[in-house]
Amino acid sequence: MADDVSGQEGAAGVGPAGRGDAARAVTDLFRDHHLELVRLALVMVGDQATAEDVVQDAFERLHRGWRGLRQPSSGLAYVRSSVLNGCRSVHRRAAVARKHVPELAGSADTTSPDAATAADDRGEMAAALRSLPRRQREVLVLRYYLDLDVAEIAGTLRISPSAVRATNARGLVALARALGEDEIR
Amino acid sequence: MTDIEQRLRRDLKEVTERVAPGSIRPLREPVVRRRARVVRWLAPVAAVVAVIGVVAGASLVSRSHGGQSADVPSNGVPEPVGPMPRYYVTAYQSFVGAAAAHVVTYAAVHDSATGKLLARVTLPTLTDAQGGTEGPSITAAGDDRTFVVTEQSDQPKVVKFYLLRVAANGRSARLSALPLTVPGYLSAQDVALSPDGTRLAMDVQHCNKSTCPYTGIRVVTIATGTASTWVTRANGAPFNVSWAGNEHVAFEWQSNVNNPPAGQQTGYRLLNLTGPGRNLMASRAIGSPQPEPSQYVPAALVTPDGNLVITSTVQNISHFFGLRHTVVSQIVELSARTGQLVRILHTVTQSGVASGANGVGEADQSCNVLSLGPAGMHVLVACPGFGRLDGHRFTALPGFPSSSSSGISGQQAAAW
Repeated sequence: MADDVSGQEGAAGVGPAGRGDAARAVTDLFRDHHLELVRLALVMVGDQATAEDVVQDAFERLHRGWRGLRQPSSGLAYVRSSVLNGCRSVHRRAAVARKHVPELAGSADTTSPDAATAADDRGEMAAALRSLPRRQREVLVLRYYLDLDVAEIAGTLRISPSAVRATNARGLVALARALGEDEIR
Repeated sequence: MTDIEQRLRRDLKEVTERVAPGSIRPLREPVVRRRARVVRWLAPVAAVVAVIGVVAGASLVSRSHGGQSADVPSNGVPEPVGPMPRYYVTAYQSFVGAAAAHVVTYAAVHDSATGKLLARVTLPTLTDAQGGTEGPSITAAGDDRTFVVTEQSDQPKVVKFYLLRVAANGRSARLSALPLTVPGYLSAQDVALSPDGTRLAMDVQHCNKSTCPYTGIRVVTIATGTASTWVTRANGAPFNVSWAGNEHVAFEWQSNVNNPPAGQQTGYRLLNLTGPGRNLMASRAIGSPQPEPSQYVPAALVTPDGNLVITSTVQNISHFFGLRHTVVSQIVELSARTGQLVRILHTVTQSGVASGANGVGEADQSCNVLSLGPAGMHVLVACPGFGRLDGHRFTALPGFPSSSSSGISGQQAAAW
């Protein structure tokens, strides 16, 4: 299991990202992750148009700041954090946020009782999510929508893994409480 | 996975799938920015606002240090003279292979003085039901050659411990799995190895009901697996476990309520392992520098003598009517007894930070305290770059292949 290594650790790829790579790399990221990030922003701000604006702003910032990235491969983490920051700014503009938040519940498709019940369930979940503190909401969405692991969430939100785990546990308890469930099963 | 987790995952998927690829409108033309002109006419106003912002954006540091310069030691506290540990070990994960890469976990031994890599060991990577990994954590004994690496998975809930023994010359290391278990109904957070290397302390929570029935500190004897747990039903949880000598465990108690009952306020506490009973809140409060309750628990470590807390703080200074901010991140030394600032060890300033929630600047990266040397005088930090603090002197060190080489994306686990 043990192995000896002599000399400095290989630092593959270390160094600032090059200017010439920016357009191609941002384009690749945009193609691969734009939809996913718009959906993430939708959950956070509740309005698709606002979500699209937030994500475009994030990609613009990524393109402008590409040369400053320590690692080209950190572009996705950067833009993901940037989207969350943009969503927080939207919430800060409270009047705008309040206008759009009800949309998070989704438009109920009432063509069948089952569909209506499902839509109600989603609305109830959305309302419960909105009732959580911002940090809990972000952790739960990153965990259960983007399927990020604890360490990735810690990196995205710039908090410790312990804080992620604790916030996740508390968020689930608070969510269950907001949904009127007696316990987490 | 619990019902609530399944429902959350399902509902989020259904809500987000309303956004179909074809439903997204074309990109808009970027707004032409005229920042220079705005800056010119706003400059005098911004200067005034910045002063107001400094006052209004009062933080833990600005309340407690009274405008003290980061470069000047306070109270005549001497610079550290104790020996620096010979080796530090970083634990990290890295992708191996091409597109369908798998994650490999490493523990790397470095020379503390030069940062030179001396040895690297591969650990089994623990993945959860979704194939994700939480990344390793690491803690050190007081001999600078004995380390314990912890790997965890949430689903299913598994905790694995590995003992890492570094050779005297640092050029090889031996890894062995420890036959220790944590009951499935408990989730462990932070793990700390005692200075004599014989016991592990960890904060644990039992949260499988709508409330957490109890939280506590669990101390496990490595040789026998025998465990003792100090618990409480108080509404809160312990974090940031560290050892103060071989008989005391320091931790940060964080209350979950705005006005906790007497004796349950957020703050640092010292648990005497030789004392009677197993009541966690019988531990002695040694300072309460944290506002309560807080969403964010910065890493904080108590020096081996139990007198000082090394932690990080963030100060926010508003500019341009609160649209931009200067974020000052610091590593500070607090009195464990009073919570008051003793001295500022390191400062990093980030300018032009955009507003985030609550109108304060959201810094891209802040500082974190990773490990204290046995004498408590040398500190491994990420602030935001990884390195060591010898008193006020910061020295950048290698140890992580890149900030984004793996699922840990920014997490930095290191100990000495």
